[in-house]
Amino acid sequence: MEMEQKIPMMSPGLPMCAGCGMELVVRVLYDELKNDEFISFGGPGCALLTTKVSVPCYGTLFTNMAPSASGVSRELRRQGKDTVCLCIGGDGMFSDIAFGNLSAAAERGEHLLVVCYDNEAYMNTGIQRSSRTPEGAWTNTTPVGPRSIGKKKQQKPFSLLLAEHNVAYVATCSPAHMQDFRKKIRAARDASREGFAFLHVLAPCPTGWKSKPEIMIRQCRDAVNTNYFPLWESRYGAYHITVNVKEPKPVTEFTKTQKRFSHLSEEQIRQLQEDVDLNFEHLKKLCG
Amino acid sequence: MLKVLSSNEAAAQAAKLARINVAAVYPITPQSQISEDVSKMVARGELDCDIIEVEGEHSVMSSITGAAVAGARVFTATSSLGLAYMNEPMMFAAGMRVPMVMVDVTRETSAQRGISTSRQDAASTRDCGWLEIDPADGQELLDSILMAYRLSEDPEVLLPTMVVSDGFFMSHLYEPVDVPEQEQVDRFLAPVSERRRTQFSDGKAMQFALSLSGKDYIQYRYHTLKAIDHVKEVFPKVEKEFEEIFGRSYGGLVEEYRTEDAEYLLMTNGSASGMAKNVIDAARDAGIPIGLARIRMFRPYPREEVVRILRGKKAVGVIDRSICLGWNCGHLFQEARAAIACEENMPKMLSFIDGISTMDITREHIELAVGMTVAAGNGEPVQETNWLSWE
Amino acid sequence: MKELRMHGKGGQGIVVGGETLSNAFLNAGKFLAVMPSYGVERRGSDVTAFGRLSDEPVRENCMCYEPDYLVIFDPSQLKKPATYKGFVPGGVIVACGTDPEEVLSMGVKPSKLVMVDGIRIAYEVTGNNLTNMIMCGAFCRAVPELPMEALLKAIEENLPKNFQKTSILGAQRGHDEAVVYTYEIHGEHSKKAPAWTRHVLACREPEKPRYEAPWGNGAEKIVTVDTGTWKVVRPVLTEESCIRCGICATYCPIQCIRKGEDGYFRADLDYCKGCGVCAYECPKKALTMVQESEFRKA
Repeated sequence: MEMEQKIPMMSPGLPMCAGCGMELVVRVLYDELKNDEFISFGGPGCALLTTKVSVPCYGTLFTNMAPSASGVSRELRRQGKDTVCLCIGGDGMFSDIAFGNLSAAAERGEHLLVVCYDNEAYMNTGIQRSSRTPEGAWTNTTPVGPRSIGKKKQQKPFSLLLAEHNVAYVATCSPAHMQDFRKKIRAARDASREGFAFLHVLAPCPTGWKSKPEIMIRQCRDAVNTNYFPLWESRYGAYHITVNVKEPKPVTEFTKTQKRFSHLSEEQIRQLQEDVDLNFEHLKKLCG
Repeated sequence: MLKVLSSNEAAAQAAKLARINVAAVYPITPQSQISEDVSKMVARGELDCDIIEVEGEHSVMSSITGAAVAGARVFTATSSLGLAYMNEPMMFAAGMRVPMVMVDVTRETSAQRGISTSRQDAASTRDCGWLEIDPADGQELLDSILMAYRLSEDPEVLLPTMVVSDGFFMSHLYEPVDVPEQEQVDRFLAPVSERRRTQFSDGKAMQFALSLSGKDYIQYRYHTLKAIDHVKEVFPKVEKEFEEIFGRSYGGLVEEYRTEDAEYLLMTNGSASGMAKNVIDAARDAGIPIGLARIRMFRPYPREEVVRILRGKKAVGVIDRSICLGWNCGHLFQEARAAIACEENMPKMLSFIDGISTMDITREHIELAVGMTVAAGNGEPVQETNWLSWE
Repeated sequence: MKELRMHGKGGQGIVVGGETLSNAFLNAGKFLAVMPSYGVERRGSDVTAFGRLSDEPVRENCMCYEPDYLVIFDPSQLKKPATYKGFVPGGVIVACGTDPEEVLSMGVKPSKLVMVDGIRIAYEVTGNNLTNMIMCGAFCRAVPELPMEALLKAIEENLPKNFQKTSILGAQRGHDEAVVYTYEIHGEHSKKAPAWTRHVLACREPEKPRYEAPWGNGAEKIVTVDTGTWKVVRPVLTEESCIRCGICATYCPIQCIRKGEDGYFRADLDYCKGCGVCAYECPKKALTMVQESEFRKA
């Protein structure tokens, strides 16, 4: 007897590299939203999910996800619907080329749930520097050689910048802290019904970070435990740290597992540590 | 009812009469008044429309594309470098067959900050896949916007449509405009919800803007082209229906003025056409057998019409407000010449560049064009492209 | 002019392999123009590359549809009909594997088939599935016009210093350990007649699409990639050590680990990519990553 084939919400076979952090992020996102009516916005990049999921999708340009979703969200709300508008993009999209219109959508308080999976470079195009690439890291456009020692500048603190728009919800998430992550997805979903919600999720890319795929979760954990990627949330500008790290480890715990950092000099590591400490102090001040 | 309106105000009135649902606004001279007027209509409660106040033209186009995909009737206006800035999402909207209407108030686009008129902005988008209608005054602009929605939302067309208004010479010119009654417009233009097109609500998992490659991609590209071409059949019908309700019509894809027994022709589009008609009347009085062909629809280009009108003429002088850089001629000229290539019994053609930046297309310039066109028709060695402003 | 097509998986260095062959032919006084197929490349996903070999500079830039040479960089490609599409009878196949029947059973008729156990050598040389230099070495064995010295020179002059030792070792072993089978092929292979002889006066129109714009309905069909074939290692559970905590399932990036009726969590091997996150995160070390080749033997 033939069984009726039920099409799953998301394909079990997605074309992402083994050990891809983003794949876990999108699978968990969809799982948390499975009982909600939502439209999934995707753009050029590894996370374009159209034709691979059985939910409504809208494919945007690399440059215009937030305004495109704003248009859809406005019209749906005008029709009296409260469909969740889920925007998924990488750091190249949201912190670089489309940061301006993402900021504008935040300022307008558009009803969007924006999720940035941050793998700290343009991975889909073959590992090029983004404004989220950490100081000192190798990429194909910040190579290492006699006259170059990796990326010269600090990361853009773009989740803080968005939180400073005093929007409904902003949070940083790490897949290693799964309960915290899932809780924040639900909080962001609810917040997106009253305004703009943004999740900044660390998503290791073994291909681009030149690391072994099996340590992907460990890297997420190290990033939190070194205060390199502290976990916090902000509701309308009221910040609070959601995972307190009692004894932060040195940042080398995070960098040592990745070949993109293998060339770092002691001076570069000292600088990176200093920046991690300063950034964390700044965050603590915001949390009051 | 006749009201004194600028073309910018007439455009805003048209948007209101079309009962738009969502508009995106962003200022740029000389268009800003349209954005302001639409916002004020909503503020006064005259128009039930959601305004998205975005941070730039790129987001203007992106957000109204989103709203249109979700089912709204959408509107916006832009100009010059604003149009250039939205080029990327414009190509997307056309490629994805998203119906919408945008007014482009023309303005120079070059580096020297020419804020005055020129059609260089609109001309540079000619291969984006948009439809382009070129009215000549405020009344025709208002009427063309209403017709543009009919075209754009036609189930066999479904393409974004740009209605072009000449900066300053139309946008800031106040003249009496007959603003139709809402009831008349409602008869002409049904609410968008009655227009059938694919939407998210059609199924549980409708997905918009799939990535396609190979033959699938070509299939959509080809049928987008067919839809653009089909407009040449639909537009005259829409205009006829418009005439039945409103009592006005403008002559289809190409307006012909005193062409029937003409030996020479001028060709124009937009706001220069009124003056051209007057010069032609004067030339006729002086015994010169000349007429005017006004291109009303630039995309799709009415090549069959142009061939029909130009056949058997001695010479045609084409007046352009834009320059094909790399060709030294105007865009109207280049397209008309391409249209008549390989056709028999075709006239000598001249290109006149004029009305760029603050330079005007004056009576004297058009008279000069008439003289040169006649001379060319009589076999005199006239230079092919002439920049009238320097004469 | 001979046409060459290469098949393998993303991450096996096929593009670099092609480039190296091109340099090697240059050293031998010949021209090989190579390019990868255009598309999304992921570690583990199928990758194809094309090459044209000539005594003169190559002027043709399109993909290869009727290859005279096939180089198969990964055993996973041996059973795929697409690998052999258009292969000219009497051509040469260089394949990563041990059993010539695996290739011949796909209906191809090579005059020469060169098999090399590339994956085993790769693990011995580099510790991963990087077979590109091994297959380049085997290619030299198959094609007498390309002397081994030309390949070694190409590696020395063009590959980064830190890869040279393993690359040269891999190429040499690929060349030496390859097994050559020759077959007699009867009958001439006739290439297609020129298209102008078809006397086409108007091309067909593309069919009308179902929706006016590229819309699709995800409720009807979704695209699924057979990611299970990507893996080179797979998780194996030692039930005695397992405490059934489910941490493996929590962190599995493709969420393919599910609780069975017996309470144990197991990965769906049809989709498991073998990333090893589950085994690394397992608090009791109840999961071990085991080479796929172990299971192929069995």
